[in-house]
Amino acid sequence: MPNESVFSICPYCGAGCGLNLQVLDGRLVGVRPSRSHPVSQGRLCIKGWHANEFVTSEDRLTTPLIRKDGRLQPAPWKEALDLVAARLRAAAPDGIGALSSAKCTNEENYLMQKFVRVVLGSNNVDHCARL
Amino acid sequence: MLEQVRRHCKEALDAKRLDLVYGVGNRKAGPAPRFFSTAEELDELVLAGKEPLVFTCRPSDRNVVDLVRERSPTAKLGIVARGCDERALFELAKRFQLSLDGIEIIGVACDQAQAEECRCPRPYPKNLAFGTPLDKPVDDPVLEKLQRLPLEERLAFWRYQLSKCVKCYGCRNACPMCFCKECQMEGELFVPRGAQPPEFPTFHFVQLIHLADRCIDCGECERACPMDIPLRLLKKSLRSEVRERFGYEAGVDPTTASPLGSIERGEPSHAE
Ligand code: SF4
Ligand code: SF4
Repeated sequence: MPNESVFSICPYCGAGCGLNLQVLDGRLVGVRPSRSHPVSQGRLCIKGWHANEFVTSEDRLTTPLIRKDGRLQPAPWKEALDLVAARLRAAAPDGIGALSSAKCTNEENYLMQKFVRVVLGSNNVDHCARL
Repeated sequence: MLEQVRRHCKEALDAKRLDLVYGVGNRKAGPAPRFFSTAEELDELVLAGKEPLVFTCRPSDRNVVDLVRERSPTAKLGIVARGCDERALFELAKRFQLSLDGIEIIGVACDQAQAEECRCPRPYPKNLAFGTPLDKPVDDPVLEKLQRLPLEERLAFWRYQLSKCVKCYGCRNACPMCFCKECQMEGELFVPRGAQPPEFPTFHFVQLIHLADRCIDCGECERACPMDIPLRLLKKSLRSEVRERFGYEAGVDPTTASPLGSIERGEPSHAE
């Protein structure tokens, strides 16, 4: 089939609008609102209308970056995670804040706030949908 | 009628008269446009009245039919088209956005119920293959009511309606006839950044003016608007204005030149 319409959910926010991604030879070429989706009923916001574009965006991060000598530099995952763990251990609990995301699942968001409250001992929990 | 259309398409594929059929397919996640290349696949063809076949893909700003034809340039393509789908194809071809060569339009007429739901004045294609065209045009009761109001009340109506706009650009994105690389609805000249709601009436009128002799009256702008702004009333009014002044109706036939896209001898703007 030359062109496929692949049903998906918009990843930008927690509303979860229905998308039909337009795929041509395995490449994302466009997006259409899904009319049969009960949440969005054929409508999208400006972000949803462009939800296909970030997938192949050159601005997308593909590796962790660590600031060294004032510049963000690519780093391996192990180094990045070790650094984050060391900094979290060293910080006072009230000095830590965590931002979760409407793009994550409920379970991931639950884990995030639990980790911050119980393990790190901080109540500073927020999420991107309030920014 | 659905069975007849399916049979026609299956025979065309089997006889290699067509290589591909474009239409609406039923899926678990709801109907969506798709291409069919085998007779078995065609069992999923439906004649759903809510899914437009012709739309612009972004960021390339090209319509889906043109993109697929670029990939398979020699494939003979059949398109199961309603009136509005065909109008979009005709008007895009006139504006060099696709070529109709090697395309067979398998036209299907909509029934009364569909036409009323769409408030459609022309619920049948020129290349009619299946169904009977409605003999009486469907009136648009909403438009008629609006047109009976005095001018000030109409202005107040639009001031209120357009003030609901959240600038999602859904009306532009959903329009099969919006394909410009540089859209003036995004240009700083007419649409200042960050102004919400956008200035009355420039934002919406930029699109209206550009669609004056292009709008094929499919209703997609209105269906895409999350704020329920009755955009189609504006476009319908404009369409009837262009019909009265220039005798032109976008998409009705594939050859008549559009009034804004052509210059005739003797026109004031035409220098010999
Ligand atoms: S707009 Fe007209 S031609 Fe298109 S589906 Fe509705 S009734 Fe049919
Ligand atoms: S679809 Fe509606 S809300 Fe969105 S830009 Fe168009 S008029 Fe405004």
